[in-house]
Amino acid sequence: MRFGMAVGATAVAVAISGMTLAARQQPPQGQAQGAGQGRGGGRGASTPPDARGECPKGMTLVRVGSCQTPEFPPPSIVDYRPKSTLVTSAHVVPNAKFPVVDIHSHTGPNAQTIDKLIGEMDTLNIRVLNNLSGGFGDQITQKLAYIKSTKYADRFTVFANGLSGFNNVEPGFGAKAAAQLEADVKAGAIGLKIFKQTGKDTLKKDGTRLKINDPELDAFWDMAGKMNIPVIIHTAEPPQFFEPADMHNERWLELALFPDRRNFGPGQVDFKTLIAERNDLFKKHPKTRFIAAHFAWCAQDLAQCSALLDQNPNVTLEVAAVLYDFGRQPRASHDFFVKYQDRVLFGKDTYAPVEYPSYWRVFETKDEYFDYYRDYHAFWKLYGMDLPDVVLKKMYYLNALKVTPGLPQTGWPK
Amino acid sequence: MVSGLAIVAMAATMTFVHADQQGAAAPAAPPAQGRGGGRGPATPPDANGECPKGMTLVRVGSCQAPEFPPPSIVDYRPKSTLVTEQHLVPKSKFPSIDLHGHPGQMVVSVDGITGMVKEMDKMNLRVMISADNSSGQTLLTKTTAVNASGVNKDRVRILTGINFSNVGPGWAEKAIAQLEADVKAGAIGIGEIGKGFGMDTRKADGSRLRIDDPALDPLWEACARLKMVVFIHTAEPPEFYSPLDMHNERWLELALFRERRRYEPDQVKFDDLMQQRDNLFKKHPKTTFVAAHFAWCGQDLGKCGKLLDTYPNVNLEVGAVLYDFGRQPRAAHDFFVKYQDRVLFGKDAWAPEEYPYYWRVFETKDEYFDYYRNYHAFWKLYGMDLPDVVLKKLYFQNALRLLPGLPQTGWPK
Repeated sequence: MRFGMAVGATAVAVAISGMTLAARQQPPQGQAQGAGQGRGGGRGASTPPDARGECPKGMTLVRVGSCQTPEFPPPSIVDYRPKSTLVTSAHVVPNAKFPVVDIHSHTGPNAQTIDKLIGEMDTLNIRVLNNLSGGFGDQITQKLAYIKSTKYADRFTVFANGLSGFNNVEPGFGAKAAAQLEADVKAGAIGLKIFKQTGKDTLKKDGTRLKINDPELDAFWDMAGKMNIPVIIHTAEPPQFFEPADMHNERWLELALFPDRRNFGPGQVDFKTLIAERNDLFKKHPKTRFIAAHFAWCAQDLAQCSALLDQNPNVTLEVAAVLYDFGRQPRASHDFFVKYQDRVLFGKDTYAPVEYPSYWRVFETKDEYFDYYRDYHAFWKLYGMDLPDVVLKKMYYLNALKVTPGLPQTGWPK
Repeated sequence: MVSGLAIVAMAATMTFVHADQQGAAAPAAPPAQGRGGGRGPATPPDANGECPKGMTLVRVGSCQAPEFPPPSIVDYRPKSTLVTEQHLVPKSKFPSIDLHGHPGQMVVSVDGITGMVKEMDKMNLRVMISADNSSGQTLLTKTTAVNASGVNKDRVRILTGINFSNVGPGWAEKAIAQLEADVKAGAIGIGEIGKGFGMDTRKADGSRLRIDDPALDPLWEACARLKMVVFIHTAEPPEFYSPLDMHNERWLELALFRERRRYEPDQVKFDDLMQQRDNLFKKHPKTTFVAAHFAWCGQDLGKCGKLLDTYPNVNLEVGAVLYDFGRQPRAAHDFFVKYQDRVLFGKDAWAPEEYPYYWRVFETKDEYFDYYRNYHAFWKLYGMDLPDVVLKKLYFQNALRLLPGLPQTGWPK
């Protein structure tokens, strides 16, 4: 009970005053008859919930039609840290069952980090770490040159990022960006990554928002198709980031922590518009392969993901940073991953070795009610999806190898 | 958003803050990973991995405080954005028997019974068992009302109670005589023996009455002789015996209900109560017991398995522990399949709108749905997807076998 020292003061005080009160006010002992149902405590009388069934602020529903206030001030959502009393079988999975391509990383090696990285990757069974933050031109050639100079050249790959962050797009930009991409791929980039700012925040030369389906970029997307590389594209943010950060918002904590994630202000593009523009892009370029990062932000509504995949054969989905949505609907996710087993790719986003095992556990086990690794993503517990080996292999590496021909293609399990 | 005048104000502030800080917008590449906001610099968690008060872990090794004061656990009411299949189950798939009923005064009159049966029909509850410890004249009043209720006379059955006050010399003889009279008056079992027994009830000499007190032995043997099932509730959920701190899963319930706080030094410990109860089960192998609330091992089914394996005379009732099955639907499924002859349906508090949550957890494969009472559980429920053969046993067949006084005909095969 350690976190305790700081919190402790409050907790102990509460516990002590609780004891005193309880000792003093304990009801008469040992009634033989009657079950003692529903004797309320709390402060003051009970109040009915409103027309929508909500209790007033500070109160909670204690019985149908009756709200009450707890006797002690309720703790905040960051201070209340209940320890689960549930005892179930727990199968921690330190390394993935099959070798993995992490298609969505932002980490690449340098002379100081490479040995440590390789050690961590081996422990986790990550065979290839794909750095999406390659940049363009000199930035990318330098990264590739370093990788090539090491004995781990088949463990690290790099995606290019287009041209100049897509700032100040004007007529002619598309052709220039296409030429840059062609050069970067010839230099060794094996794919293209588009960041979330592109399409949402980035402005054109004329001061308007650059839409992701702007015709000026058509030549650029077509070049990706022509060069036979995938485009991993991150569009928008989780849908909750576009809603007011009120008491009903599932991501209140994340929005309260990170000002730059609040997308609900006046003048900001809404979620639906961004998704519609992205889907239009997918449709306009059927010969370009797109990997929608973060499961296209439809993991909380898998039927939407199905529609997206059914309508766009050139699209695959990548799982980074939405584990919390698979893990809260393990059966529905299992069925989705089995049905679309050729369309899902593994990616993690933030490189944090201690966090990968949460993914393996959700994908591979039948475990129940276990912790996610980041409270501000999700306050709920996770469940394992229990995926069959054939699906695990496709998600961990087979689909990545197919979608990204530039990955090392040999030495993988059958 | 009624909870919310204050909250709306906060949201508006946030919008403003956001608009203010966005300005410089959108660095192009590289990705904006992990730019923290919040108040002040990041702090490392302590040796146990816990962040200081008011902070939360934002990255491995780094705690931060949110920019706005975090809401309390009762004011934060997130609406799920998850869209999944929903199968509401207003009626149990097979007719059900509520072993753990507290109809109270509803069953003292024909009118009361008629009104209750209307509600029971809506959820396919065929028999309500009054586990209100009705003895003597109280019992007679109830059985008389049941017998007079015509077409509804098979919709209610009554359990008798044992008066554990002032146990001392001569107590057992009196208690057995009363029990025999109550059986003659139509009681079909005993209970609910309340949680006060073992925790609070005093003997004639002022000492606390132990559950395994030898003075009670003749009574338990009489229950076996009379084939009266003993429905017994021992102790409270284990969390009620732990201090009311930030780690207690039942903080909210304990803060609401002071009489549920069982962690004072002079109170009987949870493990002690379990031991006394298990001694009782062991001493009287011919007496059939049903442990209410799944014997408080719903959160540790390995323990329940051991209990049932050790004591063939013991069965488990599911009242008010749905939250523990619903957070481990696979383990609970496997347990109910394995011990399908040992589990009985019961609901405890009479609230017709709450029964369908039980049907949904037992019968469906639904995921991440709300429980009916926040102070029992802050988490979501999942369906156990039990097969029909198990549902029938849970809903009625096991009860029919253990309580021969139940109406035995007219049930599905």
